[in-house]
Amino acid sequence: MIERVLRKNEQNVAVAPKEPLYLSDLEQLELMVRYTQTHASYREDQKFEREMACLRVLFPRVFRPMYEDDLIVGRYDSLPIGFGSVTSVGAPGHYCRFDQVEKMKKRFKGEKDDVLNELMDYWKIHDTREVFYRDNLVENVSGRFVDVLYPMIVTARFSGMYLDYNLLLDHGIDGLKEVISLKKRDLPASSTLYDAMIDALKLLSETIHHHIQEVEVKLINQQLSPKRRRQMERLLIALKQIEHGKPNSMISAMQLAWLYSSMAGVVNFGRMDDYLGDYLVADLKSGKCSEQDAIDLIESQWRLIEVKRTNVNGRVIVGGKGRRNEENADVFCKLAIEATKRAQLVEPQFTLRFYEGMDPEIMDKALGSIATGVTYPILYNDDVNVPSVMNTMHVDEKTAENYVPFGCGEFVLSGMGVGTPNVCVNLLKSLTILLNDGVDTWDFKPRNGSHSTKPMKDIESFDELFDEYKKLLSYYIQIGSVAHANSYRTMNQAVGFIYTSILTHDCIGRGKSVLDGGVRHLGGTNEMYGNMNAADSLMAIKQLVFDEKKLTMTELQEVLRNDFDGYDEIKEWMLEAPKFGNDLEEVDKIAAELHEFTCNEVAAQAEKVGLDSWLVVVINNQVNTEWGRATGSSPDGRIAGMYMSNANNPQSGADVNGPTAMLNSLAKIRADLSAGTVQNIKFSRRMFTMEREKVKALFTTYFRKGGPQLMVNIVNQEELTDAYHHPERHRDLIVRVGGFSARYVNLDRDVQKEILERTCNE
Amino acid sequence: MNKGLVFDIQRFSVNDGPGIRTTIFFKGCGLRCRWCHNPESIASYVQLSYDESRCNGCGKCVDFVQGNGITLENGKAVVDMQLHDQNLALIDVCPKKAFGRFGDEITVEDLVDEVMKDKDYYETSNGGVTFSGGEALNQWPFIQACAIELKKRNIHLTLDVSGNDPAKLIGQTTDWIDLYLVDYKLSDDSKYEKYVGRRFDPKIMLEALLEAKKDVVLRCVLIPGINDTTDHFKQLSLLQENYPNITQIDLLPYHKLRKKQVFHLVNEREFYEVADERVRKYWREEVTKNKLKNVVLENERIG
Repeated sequence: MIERVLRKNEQNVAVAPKEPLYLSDLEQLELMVRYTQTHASYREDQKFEREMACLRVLFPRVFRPMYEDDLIVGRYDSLPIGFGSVTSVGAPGHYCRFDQVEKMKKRFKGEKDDVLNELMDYWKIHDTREVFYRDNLVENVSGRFVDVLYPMIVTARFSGMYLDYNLLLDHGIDGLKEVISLKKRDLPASSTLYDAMIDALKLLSETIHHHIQEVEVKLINQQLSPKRRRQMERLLIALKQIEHGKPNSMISAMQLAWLYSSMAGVVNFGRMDDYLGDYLVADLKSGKCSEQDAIDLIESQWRLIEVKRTNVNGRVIVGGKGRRNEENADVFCKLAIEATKRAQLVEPQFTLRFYEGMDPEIMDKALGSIATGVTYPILYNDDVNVPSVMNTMHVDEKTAENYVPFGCGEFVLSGMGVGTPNVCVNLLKSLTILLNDGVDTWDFKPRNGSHSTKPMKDIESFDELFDEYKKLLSYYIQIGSVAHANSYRTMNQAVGFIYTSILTHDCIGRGKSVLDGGVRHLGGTNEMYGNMNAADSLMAIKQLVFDEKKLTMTELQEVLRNDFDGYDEIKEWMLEAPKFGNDLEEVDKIAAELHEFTCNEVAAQAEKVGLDSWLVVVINNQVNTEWGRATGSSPDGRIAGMYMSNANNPQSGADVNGPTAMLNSLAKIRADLSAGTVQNIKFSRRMFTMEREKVKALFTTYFRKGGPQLMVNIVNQEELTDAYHHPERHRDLIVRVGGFSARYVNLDRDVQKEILERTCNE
Repeated sequence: MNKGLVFDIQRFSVNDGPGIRTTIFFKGCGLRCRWCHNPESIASYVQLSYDESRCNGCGKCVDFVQGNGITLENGKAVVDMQLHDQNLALIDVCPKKAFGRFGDEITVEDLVDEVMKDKDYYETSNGGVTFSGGEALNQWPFIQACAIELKKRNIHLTLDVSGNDPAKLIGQTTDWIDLYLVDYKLSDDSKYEKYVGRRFDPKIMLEALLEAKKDVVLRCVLIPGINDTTDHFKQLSLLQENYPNITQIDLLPYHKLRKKQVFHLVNEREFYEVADERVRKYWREEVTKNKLKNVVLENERIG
């Protein structure tokens, strides 16, 4: 039996350790106290004023000094108490990170226990997620994020917002204030919101001013090389321009967008070629900057993104249909690929949307970058995804062209949509619960809530089993949908997400904040895990219990409850059963059916709970490993505690018929029903460089068959094996873990093992 | 012949002809090349294979054969593969699947279904299907039946052969096959018996293919000190001159990689030297010296 011991779970899915905060503990504490007092001094019905007052406590104070190679500014730290959107940078809404406060208590060696405990007491009542969890967890069904003991977890968070930077850059700060002021005249009932928006823009100007002063002081006091002096002077000009006016160069545009993103707390940075391309081309034409300058600038921007170490976010999107000026955007796109290749960083998650008819040089450059092992850009197929989004979000083609993947791969409409994944379901754990008559084989607790499952001994056919499974999933999904809709209510009651609202359509137009009716498309997503293990498990049951009658359902229960102890031969049968990823019709059909069922069932809930869409995403952010740690043994031969397969992909090593077979299997999973899936493929460097044309043909064929995206991992198998045994020798090895990239050496051991075993097409 | 004996079907083959291909490896070969890198292809019957790494020492196989030819040593079964070469019953005896088989029978229909799974990839990459082995020619009637079906579906076909054709079958293939990969193993007649098991003249096949106007890629495994003589390269240049249908010469450096599983060897396998940089440099020089054209050495065009 596998011992039922859980490894400690991090709050989010952190992999790279964050850099230490700039402010001292005492300085942080002072801000945390002031923030809390400020929050407490407002009434619940003053949420906009309260949000702005609280933000004023933080900004610009939490910005830290620039680094000596920064070409643009904007580095800040999130404190244990503050305001945010996502769990990787603080937490959503007004938050308190209790784990971080506990750590702080220890660092103060008990001296500040009183004040810190008082803070925690306050925030236990007011922290956005705490408020949400109080009323939205269903006993024995849903847990908090990420409580792996449950088959489903729910949370309140505001991930995946992509702002309309064009709106900001076209007007500049003062210009945008003017737009809002005019609107205020039309909709006086929304004055409080509009005033808050104007105040937010004012605060942004103040933050820019703060940075102007920093740069001016450095220019006077520091010993700078002539090159550095020129860079700082150029930066100063840009900052002065955007403090109130419209940007007039790539550096000023990039700077304004970046500082805005920082204040808004968003961690995905838009279709960057779309909003910076025109500025870049103008600069190149006028000689204001050279191609090399542009690449340096982009790299500097990348470093600012990387240091946030969100691990699962940090997306920058280039390419794709629907950009304002394709030609100019392509110029930026190509230079950005070059910068990415040079920088070899784990973030940003540099993403290329491609389409038939795109400049072919772009794909060649992209493959050239991937070949170096940096794993970027991630490739997204517009020709499949745009029609998909039209179908799933019920929008027209032009709107669908605004789709962007955020985080680990969830789709959202840029500048006009919400798509945060506030519910996660573990399909494999759910199956193990069903197979054990409602009781989880990990901790032997009942997890079927108020839903009765038919006892397994009474199941007479495979179809009946599959039906029971669907019923259980349906039960979880419906509960999840209610929680998801409620998470928006909870957040909306507490905050306006003012910065985000300004640059999300149609908040200004409607005079409503983003979750209050302002956003054009109020969608959401539901992350599913363990899909392929579940499909493989169903296949094994079908074959062994119902087709070949080698096992009864009762015997199956016994085998799994005992983690295969004493059942070596049966475990072998299970491992030998057909697995997804080998282009085998029977098991692939089951995987497709499971996918279609979950997608349709989830989508069907949207209308009932007041969402414009609610869609399945099958992505990976290490949760497949973390949640696998608390999932019992499964009929695919997987032992309790072992990692689950990565997103939509076959279990590591289960695909043995080569990449064409694997891609054929993947192509059977319909892309037009979900809001994002992840397809990983790995090649040795040797294969990828020596057979570039054939690999290209492989990808092209897959995309034509309906493949939505590909994440390409280029590694030497020897390199990986060596990295597994001697991590100290491979500190720079970057691998993709499904929806994000990480330094191999920073990953947990069992995640490392899983990646090592992931099929390498030699 | 309604069934073929095949020991592997490899999808996404990139070294057996143009584009992305599926290569079918037929079991059975009339030659006994000492350096053969897939000697499980040689015997023309199904053979038992054994993978020691899967063995858990349970001893079920020992019981099954009543101790004849299998013993347990250090927790692993030690198997007399010659004795049990065709004892396929052992496969189901082992709970860890340590015994397997080299060779499976397949019908035309199943083979066609299998290779057609990748038709989209063939189309995008100008690839297709390659019949290899072993000696594919030995099963030509079966292959022809497959070729007929595949040609109806517009698939490009490549035949990979050793150059040995005692039954003079090559003429029968030219109506169906688009491209030929022909081995050129040795220039020195006197060495044939020793190194490949029998004497034959590959030029006979090349002549037939020239007459049929078929493109040929010459495949030359190079074993340092054994067949990479200066004369060998000279002969290559003569071949290139006399057979203009040779569109490419592949130089294939000898390697020692072998499969994990053991089985009964029917050739007299020997291990040779693997070429180092110095030897490869010598090969490149010979290629230049003899003015050889369209030469490919491990994906790199030289000469």
